[in-house]
Amino acid sequence: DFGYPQATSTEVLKSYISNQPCNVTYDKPLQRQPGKTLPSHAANKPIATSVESMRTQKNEIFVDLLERLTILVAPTGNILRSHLDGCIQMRNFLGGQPEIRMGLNEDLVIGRAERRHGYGTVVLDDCNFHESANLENFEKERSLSIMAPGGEFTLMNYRVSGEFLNSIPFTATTTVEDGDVPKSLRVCVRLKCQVPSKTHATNVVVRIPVPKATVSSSHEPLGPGQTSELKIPDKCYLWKIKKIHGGEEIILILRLNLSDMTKMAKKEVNAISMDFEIPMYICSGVTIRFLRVFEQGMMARSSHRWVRYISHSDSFVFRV
Amino acid sequence: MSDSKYFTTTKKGEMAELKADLQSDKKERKKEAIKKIIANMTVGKDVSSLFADVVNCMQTDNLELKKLVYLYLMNYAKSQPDLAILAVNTFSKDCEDPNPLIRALAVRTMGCIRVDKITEYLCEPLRKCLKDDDPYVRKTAAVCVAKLHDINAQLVEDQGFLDLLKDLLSDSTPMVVANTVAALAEIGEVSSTATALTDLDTSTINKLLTALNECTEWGQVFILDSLAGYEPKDDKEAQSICERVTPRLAHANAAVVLSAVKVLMKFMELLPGDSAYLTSLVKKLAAPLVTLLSAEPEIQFVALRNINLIVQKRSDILKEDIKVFYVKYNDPIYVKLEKLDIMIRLANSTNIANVLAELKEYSTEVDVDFVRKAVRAIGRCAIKVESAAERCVGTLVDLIQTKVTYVVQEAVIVIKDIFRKYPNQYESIIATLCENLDSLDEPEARASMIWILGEYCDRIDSVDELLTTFLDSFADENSQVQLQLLTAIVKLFLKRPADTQQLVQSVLSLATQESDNPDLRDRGYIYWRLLSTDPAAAKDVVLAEKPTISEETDLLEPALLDELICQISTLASVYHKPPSAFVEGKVPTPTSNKLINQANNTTSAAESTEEPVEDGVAAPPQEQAAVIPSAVEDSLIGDLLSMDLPSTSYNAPPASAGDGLGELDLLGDLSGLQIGGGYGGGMIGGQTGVGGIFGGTGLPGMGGGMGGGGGGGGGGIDLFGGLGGQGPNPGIMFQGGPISLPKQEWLPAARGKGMEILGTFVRRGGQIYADMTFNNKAMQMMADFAIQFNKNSFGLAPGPLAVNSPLMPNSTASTLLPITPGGLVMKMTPLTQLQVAIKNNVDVFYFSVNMPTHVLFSEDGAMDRKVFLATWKEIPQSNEVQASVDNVSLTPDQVQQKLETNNVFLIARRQVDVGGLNQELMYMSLKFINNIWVLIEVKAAPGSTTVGLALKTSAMDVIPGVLEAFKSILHA
Repeated sequence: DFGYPQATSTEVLKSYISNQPCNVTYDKPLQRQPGKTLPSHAANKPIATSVESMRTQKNEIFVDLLERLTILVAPTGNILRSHLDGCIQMRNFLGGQPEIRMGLNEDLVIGRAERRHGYGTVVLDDCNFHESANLENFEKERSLSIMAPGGEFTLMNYRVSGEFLNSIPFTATTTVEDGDVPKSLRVCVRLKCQVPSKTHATNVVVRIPVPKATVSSSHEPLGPGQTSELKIPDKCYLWKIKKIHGGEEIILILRLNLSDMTKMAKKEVNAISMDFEIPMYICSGVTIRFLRVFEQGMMARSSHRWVRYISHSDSFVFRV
Repeated sequence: MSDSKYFTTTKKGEMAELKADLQSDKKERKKEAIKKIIANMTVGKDVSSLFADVVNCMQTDNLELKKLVYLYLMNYAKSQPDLAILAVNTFSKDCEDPNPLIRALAVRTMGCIRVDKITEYLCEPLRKCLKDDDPYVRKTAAVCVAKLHDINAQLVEDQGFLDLLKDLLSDSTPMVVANTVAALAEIGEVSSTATALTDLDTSTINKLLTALNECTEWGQVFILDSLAGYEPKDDKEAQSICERVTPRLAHANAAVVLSAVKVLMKFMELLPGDSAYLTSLVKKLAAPLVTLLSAEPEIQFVALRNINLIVQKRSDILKEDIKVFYVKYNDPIYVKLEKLDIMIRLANSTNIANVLAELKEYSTEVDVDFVRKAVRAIGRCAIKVESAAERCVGTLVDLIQTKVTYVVQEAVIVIKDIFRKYPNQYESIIATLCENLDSLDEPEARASMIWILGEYCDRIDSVDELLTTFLDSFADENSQVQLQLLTAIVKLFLKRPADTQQLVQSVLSLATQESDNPDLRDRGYIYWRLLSTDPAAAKDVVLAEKPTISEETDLLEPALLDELICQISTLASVYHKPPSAFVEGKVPTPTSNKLINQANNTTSAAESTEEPVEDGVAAPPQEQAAVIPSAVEDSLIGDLLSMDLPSTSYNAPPASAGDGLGELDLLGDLSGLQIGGGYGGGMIGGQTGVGGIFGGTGLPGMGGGMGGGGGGGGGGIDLFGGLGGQGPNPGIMFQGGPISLPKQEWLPAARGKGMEILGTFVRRGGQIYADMTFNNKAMQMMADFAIQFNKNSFGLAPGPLAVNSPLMPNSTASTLLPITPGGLVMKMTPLTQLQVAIKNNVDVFYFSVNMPTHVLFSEDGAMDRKVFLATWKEIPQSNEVQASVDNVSLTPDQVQQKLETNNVFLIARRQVDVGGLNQELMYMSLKFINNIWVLIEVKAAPGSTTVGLALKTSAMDVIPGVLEAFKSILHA
């Protein structure tokens, strides 16, 4: 029978077993422990997540990619300094602390020194992450897995200096010359929005410093959605534009009446600075490739994910 | 009806209602009631009358209710300590609860109740919780130990909680480790015994590093901070710690990043300077530091202050990143000023062109403070980067053309400094300066301009007219300007004596007769006398070569910098002051010497006035350890010390109470200044006045000149010259001789600008020696050591000081300084105090030490037997002092021998039988080097550890010192 057991009934097998039975007893500590301890990460978990609250709550997550630009342009149009601080902000209203996975550009390079010369490479000088981010796969495939806490937090901060992937959003040329009337200056600001034509900039404010001696100003008619005012105490002239489309160019021609004309007056109009906001446009080229929410088993419900991109100005200055 | 009705209220108040609710059976009502009570408590209503009822609700299974009751307890236990005891039982029970949350909650709440009576009940539960199975409970308990330590430190130490905490350091859960580190750090700050316990060793460090990666951000900060306090054994260990700390630099929390930077900065010191790892580490540090600057302005400021320190220590870290310190138009002013400071520190010959272009832009901005600082920065660039000096001067001239008054004034001030650094190179721009004379209205700018005029008076044609215009308004000017004007006109007179006699006479008479400013008057007199007696000497003095200045004026001292580097990410690194300077209770570097304080006050006053505008925002005066004034003081003090004209003794005149005078006056005492006649005295008065003036204005002038004058006119003995070879032979060892005490720190490195002195006194071969060790902890070599004592109780004076000079950085030199009596006597309190001044090429330092009395016992202290008896009787009973020395394990013979080797001599010895005890009576005598006799009766018994003393002397002041000496001799 080739050594295969032929009869496996207990009655037959009993005759082959010759040792004494011994009872297995559980160790006492084993019984006690489960009740008394919790895993260490329990301290970070919310105490109560009732199913009820999950029903009423919307299962949503908002991800904002914000960039603040610091640009300094010389009178010649050369960029003297360009620098941006970006961050990925999360507002998490997902129930039950699911794992979130997020993918960034695969061609992302971190550290100026490692810069490669491939086309379209996004180079970050430095970046740091929220403690909930697990960076295991970041080096290889530029993806993060996040045990996101509820509410708002900054997932990642990064910094780029030098050239950006996309061009800077605005260029401005300014000329200052003696006005046609004595004791006056003629200032001409030509502002071009360089972003793609599908996008637009909003809440643009251009700040033009004026000489101390300025008493009043007048300007040529402005386009729709534009306003301007002279602020004598601050020694500046504000030009506000509600909305400007990509590729559009607008001009401000301004006459400043001075109480006293000195040769220094012209030099006092030295640098114009800008504030703006561009939705759905990112200078550095960082993008979010994917955003997945992994729900656990029975609680799985469809979750809403919202991703926004916004560029802001931090210090955007054209020297004259 | 009686009036008592007013006190019994019929209306049932809210309290009664709450009370009823608390006593109800329904849980919901109870909970509601307690919520109401907590709400009342939060808004400040007193609900402590319900204490007993609330405590009754504590025994419940409901976690929410329990938490609320605990909250109430924390608030009111202090006002009702007796009732709080009621809760103890429940606490102990809760500490046994199966739910870890409740156990932790109970032990935490008990820690928060700061009532002494509770603490004794807390120990047992706490001990149990420290060994709990659940990490959450352990971590809560760890912090609780720190709380308990704050209430009752002794209890914590007695109960051995510190050892338990130490065990927790090797816990498997990172959270527990982090909290334990935090608790230990907190305890270590206040208690010295705990500090010894918190010393880390290699194995705990490894555990901390493992925990570091897994705990929360604040836990990481605690762990990193304690890592910074660890001294690695060798560079390998330092490197491995660095490797494991480096990933923390990428943390989003600025505190973690800064703490990591602190650890790395500290351990980088230990790495070999040429290793590849160090280079890569330096590269890795730059990016995170720059990233800190993209945070909010407040955090930026903190980061910048820390970066300022880091740049001073290792400028190579950020040398590539100067562009990020360019200011943005919307930065707050405090950020702008700090960035400007760092830009200057990073400026070098390669990037100076860009920096200058930036600075020029800044000087056209609107903010006046910022513009001023920018203009100053241009001047500092010129002084720092020699190759760019010409371009800087060009920029400054451009700025002067703008005619904006404050820009012009700042430019004039910095041009003065440039002239000092590069004399005779840029005087072509003086014409431009003169055009703007009228726009100068600030004293500092006017003073600077006048200094320039005086310095280059032989190249400017109309200088006498210009100075005359200034002289017309002499009485209205600030004293700073007056002093400069006086000096400038004297300079002019010395160069062109022919046509300016009128001018110099009028200014001298104005200064000496019209002015009530003592500095001005003294300077006036000294010039007048110099000019009238010896014009050639006057020329030597007034037109002397000036020491050049350098751009290290605002660097921190290396010792202070190292201390601050270890304090990165704390308030100390933001203030740029050591913690002892602003935290009460922190142990400051030991100073008991008013001399030091006085000297420091005067120097810091001098320094802070030197750059008042720069100082304006947040820069503490310490930041400017100015080179210019200290150099001047140095030479001046050196001259005064070396001046020893043979004639009647004369103290420096107190009339000219200048800024720097306190110190100089003392020096007069120190060196026993001897000067012939009133004229000389006046002269010295003048000099001290001038010293004060230079400290005060920061204007370069005459330190060197005075040096020449002093040396030339004195014919005096240079005390410090030729000291090199003739020291005593320090190699001789005296064995079994008189006791010598271990060396103590006399001058800490932080006080001594990097020079540390350890020392003690010994008596060898009939002479007193100061056995001193000099440690050079500064970055530069030190040379030209010299020493002087102030007048003291025993008239001690130092012999020649032989120190191997120059003393290289990080090296040590030992010396034996012979000390001889015969100097000037002044009684000090305490009697043995000795005030010492030590000079080297860096500065003069003052400190005081207490001499051990036994070195003052003279070798001829044995008295004749008969004389002894007569003297013993002669001294009245009131002059006898009884004392005893305990814990002496010596036989009477040994006592005698020990005392005799220390110059206490036996006159007679006899045995007496006192109540069955056999006692030895020894009559001994000793003599101080200034001939004060002390007679002693020593009682010693074999087998007894107490030695009785009876002392008799006519000078009672020495008694405490003698007793102290006997103690140290008998215990040695």
